[in-house]
Amino acid sequence: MNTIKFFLIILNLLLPLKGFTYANFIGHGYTSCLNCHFNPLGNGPLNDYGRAVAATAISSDAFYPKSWNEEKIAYTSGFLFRKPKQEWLRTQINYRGFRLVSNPNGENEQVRWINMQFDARLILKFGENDKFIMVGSYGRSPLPDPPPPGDDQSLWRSREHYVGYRFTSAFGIYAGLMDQAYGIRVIEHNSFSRTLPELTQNDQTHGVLLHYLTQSFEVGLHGHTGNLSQEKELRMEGGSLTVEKTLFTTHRLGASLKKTGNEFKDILSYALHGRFNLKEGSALLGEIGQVKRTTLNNADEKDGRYGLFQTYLRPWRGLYIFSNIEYVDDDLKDENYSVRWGPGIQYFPIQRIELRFDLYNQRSFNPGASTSDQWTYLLQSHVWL
Amino acid sequence: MMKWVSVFLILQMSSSVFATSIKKYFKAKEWQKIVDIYQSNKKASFTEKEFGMISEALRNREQFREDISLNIRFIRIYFNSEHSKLMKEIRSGASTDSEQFSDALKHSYWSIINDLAQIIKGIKKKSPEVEKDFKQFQMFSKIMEALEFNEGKTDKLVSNVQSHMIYLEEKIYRFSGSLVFNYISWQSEVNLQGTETAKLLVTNRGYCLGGDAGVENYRYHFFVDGCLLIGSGEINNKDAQPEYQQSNVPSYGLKAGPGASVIVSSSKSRIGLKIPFVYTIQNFEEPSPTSGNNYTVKQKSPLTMQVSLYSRFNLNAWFIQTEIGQYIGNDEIFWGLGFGKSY
Repeated sequence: MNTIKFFLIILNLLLPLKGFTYANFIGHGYTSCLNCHFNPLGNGPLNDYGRAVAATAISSDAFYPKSWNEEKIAYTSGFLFRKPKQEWLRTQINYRGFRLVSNPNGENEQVRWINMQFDARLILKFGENDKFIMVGSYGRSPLPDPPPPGDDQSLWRSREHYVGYRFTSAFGIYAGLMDQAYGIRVIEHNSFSRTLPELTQNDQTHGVLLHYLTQSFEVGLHGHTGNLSQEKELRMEGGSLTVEKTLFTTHRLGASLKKTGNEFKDILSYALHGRFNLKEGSALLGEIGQVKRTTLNNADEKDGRYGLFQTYLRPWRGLYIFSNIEYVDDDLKDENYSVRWGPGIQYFPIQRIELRFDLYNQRSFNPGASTSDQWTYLLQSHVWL
Repeated sequence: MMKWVSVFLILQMSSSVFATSIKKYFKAKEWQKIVDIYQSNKKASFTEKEFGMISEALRNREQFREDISLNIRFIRIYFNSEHSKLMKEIRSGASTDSEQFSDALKHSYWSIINDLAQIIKGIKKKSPEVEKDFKQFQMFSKIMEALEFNEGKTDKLVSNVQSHMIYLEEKIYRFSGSLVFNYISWQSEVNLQGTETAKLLVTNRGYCLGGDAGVENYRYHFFVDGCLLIGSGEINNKDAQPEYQQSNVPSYGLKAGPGASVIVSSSKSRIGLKIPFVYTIQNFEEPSPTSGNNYTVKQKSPLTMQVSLYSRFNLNAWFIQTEIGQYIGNDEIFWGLGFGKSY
């Protein structure tokens, strides 16, 4: 890419754009994901409060009539653009697709459109403060490349179905298919902090999650039975633990541990992470972790290490400018490692719409070798109803 | 004696002329005409009602300072003792029974504090005059608080004016400086010169120690920054002739240039652009002669220029900063991740 094109892309995207990200919303003062999501550790459907926050604090108000106040905008954040008439049922539809361009302007340029997510979600909730919930999602999603062995290889799948009961505001139990309790749940499923410990878009597991939340601590202890849609010998069984401590009422420091395995491989991973609120939507996220992968009969053992550093700035309501800085050393025995550097822009022009641009530059560091950087960019649209 | 009676009668007559005219123009909302009458007859003796109508006219014509003078004169003429009593109570810290004070006096204070608020909010730059106005405003806010008059409106007014004063303060550009330590990586091109010239790529990594100095206010930061860089690079030409490879080739130099950023949060996190010049020195061993050809390896150019996007995230005086930039005229990229401390 030449200089002019590089900066034209940046400048183009500094014009109206936006996004809808998650762990970084600590920058708006939300330390716990449970504030806005039914899943206490984030991801999945938003609760009523989360939808109202997405419509007001997160999304731009530039396209509303001047006469609309925040209360009216929040009122229209429900599924049918109004507050639901009953308390026990919620429905949501999500679509996320993007244009992915690898090696732009290079000899091997590849352009693809990927429909990453198209699903419907159903939530049943009962009791005071939604004490009892049943959450399910079903939709179309692309297979990972390459497809996982033993998976039913269907484009249609449920990524989430579980029941949950909160005995108190501090303690709840959740059982079913969920994302694994581990580290920072960043939206980028291709980030090294998700690929190395195997936490990508289709790595959900059936199991039981115990969740504990106070002003100072948040703990998720997750027993995994593996994804039951896989053949038994491929299911990754085990468990994971994530703990976060609140610092100065606005920041979080955490640690995670995961031990899973099947008949062919074992994974032991551990990580430290931090999320920092820099006010008015600006935030820093960081995670560093190590993963030990052992294959059948200990024939092959690899220790890998990853680092994730995400920065978010919110120049004005609805617009986030971010950086994804990642490091991965797949095998600590050799001296090779890669760094991926990705500035991007996320824009929520109005509630229910997220537009996002990510630019990735990946550089390899190998003793005695020097190779050209790899470039990728993606233009993403996300709609939720 | 006759002389004094004549003066008295003339004053009475002119006062009644004012009264008729002011009343007429007040009904018609012809504020400027009321102001004109007042300006031509400032020393005339007005009734309480006339004072009220003139005050409203002055406010409508945005002559706030004139309105303050008018109201002070009004208080001195009609409520001097009440005013003195109130001030004495406020100074002594004694509680005030607001019922003891006339409504007309309270309305007059309310007019003055509104005038001061309008004057202060209309000022775009901090000055000794606005400081003086703000002191007066604070005094009248104490009076309003003691009288418990228009409490909600007064609180809102005080909050707005205080915010404006903070804004005026934060608008002022002040010197700022910092020390920064960066982990950096950059690629550069070198020429492998023999019978033909081939381009090779060097991948460097290292550190850059330096800082910046400039001015900033609540919204913008303009600065010059620079750092001394030291690192090493990898270079190879494995797939072509002559085969060439070197590891950990030392590189050192200087990176410096101007920059500007926009501060986007109260934590002083910011995003901006820099245009640094980078001067690096990196000496490569020459490849072994092949088939009688001699080769040399030289930097394409030791001096380059970049445009970079940078951001800084403050946690009090300490900060983390990121930078990614592209060389002008080349395809290569520079990036840096570091931390520093502001002074």
